[in-house]
Amino acid sequence: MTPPLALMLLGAAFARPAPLPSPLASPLASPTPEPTPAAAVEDPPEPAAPAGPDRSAPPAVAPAAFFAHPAPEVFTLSPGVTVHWVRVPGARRVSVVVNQWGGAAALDGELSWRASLTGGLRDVATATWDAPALAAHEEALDMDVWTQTQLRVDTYEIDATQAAFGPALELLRSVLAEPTYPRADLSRAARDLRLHHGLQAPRDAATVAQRVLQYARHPPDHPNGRPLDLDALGAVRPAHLREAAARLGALGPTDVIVAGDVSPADWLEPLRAALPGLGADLPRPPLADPPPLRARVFAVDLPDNDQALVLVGHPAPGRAHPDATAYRAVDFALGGAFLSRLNKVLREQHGLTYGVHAGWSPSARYGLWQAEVDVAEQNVQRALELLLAELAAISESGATADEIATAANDAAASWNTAFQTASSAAAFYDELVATEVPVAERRAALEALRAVTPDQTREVAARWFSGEGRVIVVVGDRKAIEDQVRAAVGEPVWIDAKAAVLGQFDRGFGAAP
Amino acid sequence: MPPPAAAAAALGIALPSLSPVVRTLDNGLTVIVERHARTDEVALYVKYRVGARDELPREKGLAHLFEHLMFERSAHVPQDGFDTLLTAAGGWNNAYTSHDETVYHMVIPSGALDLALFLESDRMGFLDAGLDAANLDNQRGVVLQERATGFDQPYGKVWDLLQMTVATGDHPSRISPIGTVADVEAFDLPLVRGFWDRHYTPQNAVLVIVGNVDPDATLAAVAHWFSDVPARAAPAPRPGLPAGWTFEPQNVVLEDNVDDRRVLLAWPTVPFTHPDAPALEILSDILSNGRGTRIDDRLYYNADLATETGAWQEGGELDGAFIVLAASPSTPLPRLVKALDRELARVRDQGVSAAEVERAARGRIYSLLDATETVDSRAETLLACHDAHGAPDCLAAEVDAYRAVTADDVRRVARAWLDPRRRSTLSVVPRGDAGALPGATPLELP
Repeated sequence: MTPPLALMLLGAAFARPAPLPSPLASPLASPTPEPTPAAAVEDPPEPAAPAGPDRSAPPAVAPAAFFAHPAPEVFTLSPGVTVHWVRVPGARRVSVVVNQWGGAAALDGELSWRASLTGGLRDVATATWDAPALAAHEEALDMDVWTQTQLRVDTYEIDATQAAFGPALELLRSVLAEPTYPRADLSRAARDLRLHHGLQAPRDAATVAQRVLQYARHPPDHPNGRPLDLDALGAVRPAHLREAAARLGALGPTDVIVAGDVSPADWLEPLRAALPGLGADLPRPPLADPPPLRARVFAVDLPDNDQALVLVGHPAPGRAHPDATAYRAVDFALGGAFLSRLNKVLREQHGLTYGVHAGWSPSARYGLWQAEVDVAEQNVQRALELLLAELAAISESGATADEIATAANDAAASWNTAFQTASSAAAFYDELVATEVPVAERRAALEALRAVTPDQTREVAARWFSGEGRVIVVVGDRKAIEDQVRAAVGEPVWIDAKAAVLGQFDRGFGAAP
Repeated sequence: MPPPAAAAAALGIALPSLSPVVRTLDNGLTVIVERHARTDEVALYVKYRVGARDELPREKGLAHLFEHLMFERSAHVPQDGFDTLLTAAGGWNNAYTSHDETVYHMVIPSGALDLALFLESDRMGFLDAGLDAANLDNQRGVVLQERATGFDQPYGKVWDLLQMTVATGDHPSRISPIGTVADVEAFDLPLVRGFWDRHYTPQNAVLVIVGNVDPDATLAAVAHWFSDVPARAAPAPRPGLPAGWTFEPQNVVLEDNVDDRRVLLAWPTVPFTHPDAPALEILSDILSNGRGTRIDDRLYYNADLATETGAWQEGGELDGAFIVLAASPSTPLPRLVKALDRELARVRDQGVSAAEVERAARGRIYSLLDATETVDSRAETLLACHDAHGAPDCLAAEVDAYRAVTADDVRRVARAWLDPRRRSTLSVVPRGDAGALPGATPLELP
């Protein structure tokens, strides 16, 4: 009987780790046996052979502790603008993330072209720096400014060396206060968007499948589910973007993350000068949850492809859901690592694919779990059957104790990397602030993984992987895959690739767009 | 408007201090260790000096397939144990194979260092016990899927085909590391064992450890775990360019599952250790690295000629290639080439400005400095330095090399290496499209 993996790692049962040579010993000499003490024997024993490493069992590894990362220090810059500062000792750079809550949903009720172009082009040119000068300024000072408008939040990030931190804050001020949106850049961006969504994305199986799942999850009237209208790009004008940029700053509160080897004396006043009039002393505008996922099967014909892509989506708990901790272990057991169940079965045991990409994407209140696998077109049925069999198996039996222990160690290792760089620390605290979870609370939630039992994971897996709400998308040459899809999961709804990318198909919510 | 160059000059560039320790074990393994303790992580790289160019006839793809077999089983690590044990300890790992090298890398919590050394030493010394037909068959299937998946993507064949247009004739780096289907399907155990015997020796490897470690204790731990890994026969001399090899310019076309057209120009150039390499890299950034660079401005930002542009100097151990790319769904490829040629001719005829050189050099230097931030990129940097300079701390030398490049150097290397008569062209067009460059002939991957 093989000892449980956790026990092997702890060295409790069978592991007998070899003692390490003393660091004081000659560092690269072979270990030398201790001299045999003089003893009352007439024939001294033969000198022992130099001891090599004991390879009878892997060395023990104690579970890594979750570091006690500090809570950020909080400053109110002005009504509605809160700064969360954390020091990252030794970091070469300083990262600042500015989140203006409200975003496209509060601006236009959806992620419109106007909203996305307002964010995407905001860092191109300002009244102080025209486009070539701004690019040269960033390169010369080794800094990056990046802006984006999403559905709920408008985000600005700067990443600069400590020496360039002051000029970077000045550039941030200019980008926030005086973006100009040159006509030529708007025109080029519109052209590139048409090219991407109209020509390139429909050729890319993974993009097509992901778009179908996104649309299947949201009805056409949900802000996340609106079909794309490429013709509407032509109606966007620079004045629309300047007006939107001015309004975005007043739709909700603003959170600022500052991470780096700097102190408030370095950033407090420059940041106050960079963010005048930003943020409204309002709650974050809410966003409606989408309706529950409905089980459906979609297929998209890519007639010239030799490979096929299978994507399976499942409703999943949000991060604040009581199931979240045990669900994390189930997710890890399925797809969290190279030899998690799906990769082990489809790649290592059956050689069907180069790899299965699977994982859980939780927001605060709801989540999505998905698995994507690329296979030769003749293996679609086999891949679907194996994948669904693994989901059925885990929904019946849950995760094992070894899998739960591995998930906890993985979570600890990941948690402990937060202070690798200023930008990794900024991203870490940005996510906590965005989800309004204190660092100690998140740490406790992850540490709770160590106490999760297989029974708990069985209950949670049964709840979330029963097949209810499962969406399956298969992309490939219809001639080659149609019969296989039908045999494995029933008759799919066939979608044209361009319509799939643009969301212009009947998603089964009741009303076609 | 603040003058950027003056502001930048005031900043100066502070080099981070690297403090690697280097030892060679009795069995020939080179070990490099550095403490970098911002987090609890440790990065561990093992490089074997073997890549696709070391493959013999009927071995095309074996270096890469062998990389897969290194994760299966060794004498004291059970099937799948490498990944299972490492993941359970909170680590992650991966590997890659190029024409010149095969590199295994991982990041682990510091408490798992002994486990990592146990696993790496076991597969270096005792992998042969785990080489069996079942694992070979399975990984053969995985590799063929990897090949099919990559080539089925839009433009998925472009870089491997482009390599064939530069490494022409009997160049040892002509065939992609992914190999040929015929060879991969025919690999058998004696061939695989022979490959391991020839190349996977401690004398042919470099181990780099960077992270939250004590260097002396770590060197002792390495010595302990690799003490029973025997030195084996010295690896055979590696193949160089065949005597008398000459580049034969190609004009080829790929019809692919795409909806827009692109053209790539490629010149054979210099290895990464060549004195001209820094100037060629800076030239590539002067041509295409965002707004304010020549090709990007002329074809993308200031005209509606191209939807994508690029320029790269790629250096290997034997030689390198300079590549220029432009793409468009509407501009005919001959017109794109004409526009590219005009910019290249301007560099050859009129040279570049000192300001352009300074901007490009700064970008390269900043990238070097950023690579010292994480344990993973720092370990990779030490390994690259060891390869290029024979010593793991080459940051100052690399920075000096970029700083020393002048506008005259850039013009000289453009004239020396970017001769318009001595280049290959690859047109990529939709299936059935007649828009390839005149005279282009189809080229298929073997």
